[in-house]
Amino acid sequence: MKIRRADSELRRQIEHEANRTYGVSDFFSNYELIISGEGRVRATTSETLQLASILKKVDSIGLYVAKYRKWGLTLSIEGSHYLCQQLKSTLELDREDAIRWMMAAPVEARQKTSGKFVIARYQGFCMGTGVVGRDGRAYPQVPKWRRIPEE
Amino acid sequence: MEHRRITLSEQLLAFLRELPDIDIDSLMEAYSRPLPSSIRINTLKTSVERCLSLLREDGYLLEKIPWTRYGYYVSGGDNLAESIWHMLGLVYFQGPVSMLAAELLDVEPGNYVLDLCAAPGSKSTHIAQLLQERGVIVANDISVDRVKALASNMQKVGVINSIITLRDGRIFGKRHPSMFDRVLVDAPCSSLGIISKDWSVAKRWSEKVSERISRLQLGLLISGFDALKPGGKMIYSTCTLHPLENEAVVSELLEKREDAKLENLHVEGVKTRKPLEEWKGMTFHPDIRRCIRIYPCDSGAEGFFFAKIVKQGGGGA
Repeated sequence: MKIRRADSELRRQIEHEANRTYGVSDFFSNYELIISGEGRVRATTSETLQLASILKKVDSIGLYVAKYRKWGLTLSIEGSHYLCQQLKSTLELDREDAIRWMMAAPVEARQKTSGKFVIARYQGFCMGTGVVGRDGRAYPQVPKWRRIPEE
Repeated sequence: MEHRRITLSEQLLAFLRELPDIDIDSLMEAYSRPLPSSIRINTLKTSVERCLSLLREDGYLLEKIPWTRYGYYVSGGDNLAESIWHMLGLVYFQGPVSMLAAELLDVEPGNYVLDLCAAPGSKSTHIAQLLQERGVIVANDISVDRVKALASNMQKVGVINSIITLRDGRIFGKRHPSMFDRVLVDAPCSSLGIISKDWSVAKRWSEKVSERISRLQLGLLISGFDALKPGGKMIYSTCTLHPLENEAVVSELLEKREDAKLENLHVEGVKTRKPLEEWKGMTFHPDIRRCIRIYPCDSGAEGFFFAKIVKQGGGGA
C-alpha cells in the first residue's frame, strides 16, 4: 500500500470544510491524515504512521473518519463519534428513528438543518452523516455491513 | 439450555480418552451445549457503566464473566447482534475464554503489539482497547478475505492506532526482528475446544490434521518470538486440546531459542488444568508445566491452551 499523507494544503481544505459544514474547529489536529481511494480520509497517530513506513505488505492504517469530495465532506460513524462533542448541530433521534437510521432508511429531519449534510445522534452517540434531500428527509450514509438488517 | 445429541468418531473419542485428568462424560456434556452468548464492552467508545445501563434499558440481562475485565454473558432482550449498540461498535461478541488471550498478554498503553494471526479481529480489538490509543497494534493475517473482516471489525470498534498487514506470519519475525513489546500468536488449530460452536470440526479431525497443523504453528510461534524485543512478552494460544498443537509446539520453541522462557500463568475465576508433560513417548520441556489448559467442561464455554513466553534480556518491557 502506498501511503499518501494529506499535505498541508489538502489538510487545510478538509479542515475548512469540516468547520463550514459541521462547525468542527479541531479536525484531528493531533493526528496524521491519510488519503486512500475515493477520497477516503483516514486518521492515525504519528507513531503508527512511522511504524507503518517500515513495515511491508501494509493493507490499511488507522481509522476511516471521513470522505472528502468536490461536493462536500461526509463523516463516517467513527469520524462523527470522535468529533461528536464539537458538532454545532445534530439531528437528535428517538429510538425508532435511530433504528431506521441504522437500517439506512430515510429519517424525517425534524430540526432545521442549515446545509445538505446532517449528523444523527441517539442517546449521546453520533451515528455518521445523512444527506438531506429536497423532501426534507435525511438519507443516512451507513455502509451496508453496518446496517441493521430489515426484517 | 438447549442440548444437542452428538456423536464423535472412534478416532476422536480414542484421543480424548487418552487425555489424562478429564472426565469424558463431562466433556461430551459440554460439547453438546451451545456456547453461551458473551460480549466484551468496548471502552474505546463508551464506559462499562454507561454501556451496561443502555443494554439493561433495552431488556438485556448481563452477568460479568469472572476472569475478564470487560466481558459479560448476555441473555434476554432482542437479538443484540442486530441492535444499534452492536452496529455502533459499543459491544463486541467474543467467546468468554478467548478473551483471556489479550488479558494474559500484560498489554500496557504505549506498547508496540503484534497480533500475528489476527483475523477476524477479536483479540486485536481487545488489545487496542487495552492500549487506550497509546502505542500501536499491528494486526496481521495471511488471508485476503479474512483481512477484510478484520479491517471491518477494527473500524467498527474505532481503532485509530492500528496497522493491518497481509502476509504470511511465518516470515514476519525474519523481516522485522526485535520490534514489538508484546506478541500474540493465537494460532490456527484443529479447534477441538470449540466443537460445540462448529460441529464440522469434529467430523474433519484426524490425528494427521493435528500433526500437519503443528508444523505451521511452530513456524508462527518462532516468527512471533523473533519479532519480540528482548524483555518482551508473548502469548501462544490455541482453541484445541491436542498436545501436538500445544505443549509440543511450545516445547520445541524452548529448544530452538535459548532466550525463550516460560512464565507461570494464573487465572482467577475458572478452573485451569495442568499441561501434559509427556505424550506418546515424547517428553516435553520441564518448564511446560507453567502453561495452562482450560477445558469446555470447566469454563462452560470454549477449551483453550495458553503459554506465556518471555524473551530474556533488555531489562523488561
